[in-house]
Parts: sequence; structure tokens; C-alpha cells
Amino acid sequence: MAAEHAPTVLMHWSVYGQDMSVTKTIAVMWGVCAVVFSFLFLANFFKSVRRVERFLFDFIQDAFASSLHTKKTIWFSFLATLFLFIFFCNVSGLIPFSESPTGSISVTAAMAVLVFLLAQAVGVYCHGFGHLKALVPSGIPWPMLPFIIPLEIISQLARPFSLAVRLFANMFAGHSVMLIFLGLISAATFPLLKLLPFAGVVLLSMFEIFVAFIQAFIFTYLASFYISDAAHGAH
Amino acid sequence: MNAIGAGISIALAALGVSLSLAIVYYKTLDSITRQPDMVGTFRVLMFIGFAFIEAIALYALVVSFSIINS
Repeated sequence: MAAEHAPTVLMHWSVYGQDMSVTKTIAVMWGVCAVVFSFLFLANFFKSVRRVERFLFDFIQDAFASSLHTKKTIWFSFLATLFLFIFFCNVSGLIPFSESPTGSISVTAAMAVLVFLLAQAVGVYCHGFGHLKALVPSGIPWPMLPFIIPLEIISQLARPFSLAVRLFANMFAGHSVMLIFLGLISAATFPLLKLLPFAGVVLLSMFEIFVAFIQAFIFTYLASFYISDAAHGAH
Repeated sequence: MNAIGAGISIALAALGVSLSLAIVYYKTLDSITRQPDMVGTFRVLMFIGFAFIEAIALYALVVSFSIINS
């Protein structure tokens, strides 16, 4: 996307002419992975960390896994991984000298395509060729089918796109607005006037934490909805 | 020319989104006064709806940023 600024390259690396440089986004993602892993690992040893972990897992179980109508733990682990990764990625944008990996369209697009492929795979696994019936809404007269089926295909393909762009736009826009407010601080000529944009930045930072949580929630909720829709919806 | 296009795109999106946010909030308040014991459910659903609607304005914001930069 044209609006995205060029990534900061930390280490140049190319494999067979393919650019695989380590950018700041990738480094932050590694850091997020390390933080999530050590948080879950420390829960084995400290009671206070375990309490937080139990609270989080109960929340994820209630919010997402119950909408899948299944007790299989594999979906719980997938959704919990998705939620924790996205949430920590979103929050890492608020740390100085860091940036949020979800503020880059490639990261969110990769996750959205993963969710899309997983939903299709679940549909094929559960119904075989009957998964194609998801493209035909029930109760439609047959002359309408040539118009309905392309529309349904487009709406299926629009799902990963909207999933990716929603998360990316929220993170990118939040940071851009904060950057504009920071620019207003240096632009203010009268010293006391600098307090106004400063207060704005503080309020926006608090709002960003809320947005980070809500967007991680929405992404995981829609992922669970798409998967359960493919597993036992419209059949 | 770019600046005008960017301004129009975000302005129209903000108009529509503010109206729809108002509808969602109005209906939520309405439901809460009808069934005060379900406040928790309504609040969660309201925030989910807010996030969906707000995303539309943010699409327009991204589009207007890319118009300005192009």
C-alpha cells in the first residue's frame, strides 16, 4: 500500500536473490513471540502469573471457542495463539523505538490468508465436495443461480481482504493521528499551547490500548466465526 | 487536487460513520433502559459494532493518506 512508509532494515540478507532482510517489523515480531512464550512459560512457576493466564484463557474460551460449538482443544489453542499474538503486536506499537507489526499490511494479510485457507480446509474436511454448497444459499430459485454464485464467491474472497485491512487500518491510522499530534507539539510557538497536543497524545495512547484489545478481539472473533461457518453453516 | 480528493473521501466517510455510530449508541441506550439487567451483553455487542463501523472510516483514512502521498 502506498500509504505505508518504507520499512527500517536492520540487517541485509538475501536468499537466491530474494530480499529477506531483517526489518524492524520482523525483529519486533520475534520480540513479541519471546514475550508471549516466556509469559506462558513462567506461568508454570509463579502463582500470580498463572492466575493472569487462567483469567485470559477463561476469557478466550468463553468469547471464541464456545462459538465453535466444539470442545476440541486444537481450536482453543489456535484462537488463543492468534489473540495473544495480535494483542501483543498491537500493544508493542506503544513502546518507544518500537513499532507494531500489525501496522504493516503484509503481516495482517498473511494472518488473514492463513485464516481463510484454514476455514476452506475445515469446510472440505467436514463436507468434502459438499463444501461447494456453501456458495449456494438455500431457497434460491434456480434462474437466479448464475448471478448468486459469483456474488457468493466474491463475498468469500472479500473476507480475508476486509480482515487484513481492518486490522492494518486501525493500527496505521491510530499511529498516524498520534504522529500528527506530536507534530503539533513542535509546531506550537507559544510554550503553554504545547500542553494541548500533549494531552491529546496522552489520551490517544490510552485509546490505543483499548483499540489494540478490541481489534485483537474482533480479528479472533471473526476467525472463529469463519471457521465455524465453514464447519457447520449453510449445509 | 490531491488534497481536495483526500478531504472529500475522509469527510464523506466521517459523515456516514458518525450517523451509524449515533444509531448504534441510541439503540443500545434504548435497549438498556428496556432491559437493564442485560447491560453487560449490550455493552460488549455495542463495542463490537463500534469497531466494525469505525473500521470503515479508517479505510477512508488510509485511502486519503494514499491519495495525498501519490
